[in-house]
Amino acid sequence: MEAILSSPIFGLFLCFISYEIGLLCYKKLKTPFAHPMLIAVIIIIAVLTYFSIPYAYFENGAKFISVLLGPVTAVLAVNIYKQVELLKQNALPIILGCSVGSITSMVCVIALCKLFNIEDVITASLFTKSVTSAIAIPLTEQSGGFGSIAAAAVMCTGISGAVLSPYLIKIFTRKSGLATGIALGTSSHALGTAVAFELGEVEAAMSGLAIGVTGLATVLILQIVYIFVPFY
Amino acid sequence: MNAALQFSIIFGICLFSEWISSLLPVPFPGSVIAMLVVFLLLSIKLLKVESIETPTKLLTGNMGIIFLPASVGIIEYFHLVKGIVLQFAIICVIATVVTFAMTAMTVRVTCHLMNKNKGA
Repeated sequence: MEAILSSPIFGLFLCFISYEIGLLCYKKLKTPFAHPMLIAVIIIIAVLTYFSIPYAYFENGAKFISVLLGPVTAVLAVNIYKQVELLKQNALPIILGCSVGSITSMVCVIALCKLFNIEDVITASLFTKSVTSAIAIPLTEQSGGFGSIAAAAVMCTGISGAVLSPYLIKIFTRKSGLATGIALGTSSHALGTAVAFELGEVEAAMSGLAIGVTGLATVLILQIVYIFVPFY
Repeated sequence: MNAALQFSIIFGICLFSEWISSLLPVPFPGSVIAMLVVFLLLSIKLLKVESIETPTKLLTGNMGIIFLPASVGIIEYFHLVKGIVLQFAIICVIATVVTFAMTAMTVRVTCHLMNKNKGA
């Protein structure tokens, strides 16, 4: 058994097979709550926990997939480039939308944490939850929060955004591809963008763009906050 | 252009961007810088969409699975939020919904106002 578990192929196999099962369930059940990503995460966590398999064994293979996180973000530029006219025409709504979105996310976190009496250090770790984890983790550590809690919050946010997206789109964006794309990317970063890719070219491009703009807005806003509100 | 060369271009840009990222005073990831670099190279026509078509299709077509390992990483940090799992989940979900709503509203209202001004 050890021979199987310690092979890097184990993590890779578990990822691919779980995702495939996730896709099958999604097709069969036809409910947003059976999102392939959510199902795959649950299957993998269940397998690792039930058989008491150390996370390191999974990580051993899964890291080869995670290496592609950088390149996949880079090639999102192709979709943005194809929609460059739309980008030029709507520069103002895009920048305003992403900025308002970042501020809303932070204000929401502060308000909800106050409501639940959450410790300050956890609150500081949730600030960056709507941006891509590559930005969220270092930014959180810089502000005195826990990077690992930030990573968990980012993923929890991404998955909830992806799962709830059909309802959110129906209620808030109706037929605007621009608003849908920007809102998906701003509220749930790359996992929102993965959803946007299934919706259409405009949605995909705008969502990818929103990851970058929201990340930039969050970095800038937090730098300003640190200068004026030294509460850490 | 063959796939090896296409991937070399993308990986090369990623490496260059990681280096730029390490020089910045604030945390800003190499991946987002790489997105900017690819966009710029396409805009000034130094790079053609066709020259990176293979990695683009392969990567964007499988985004779900690429983000899967990172999502599973939650279990590594589970002990940190053990006592407040429910609150943690509620905060994440509510904040995501409100953020989506506010962003969508802002985009739509701004577009609406811009169209109005154009008409007047």
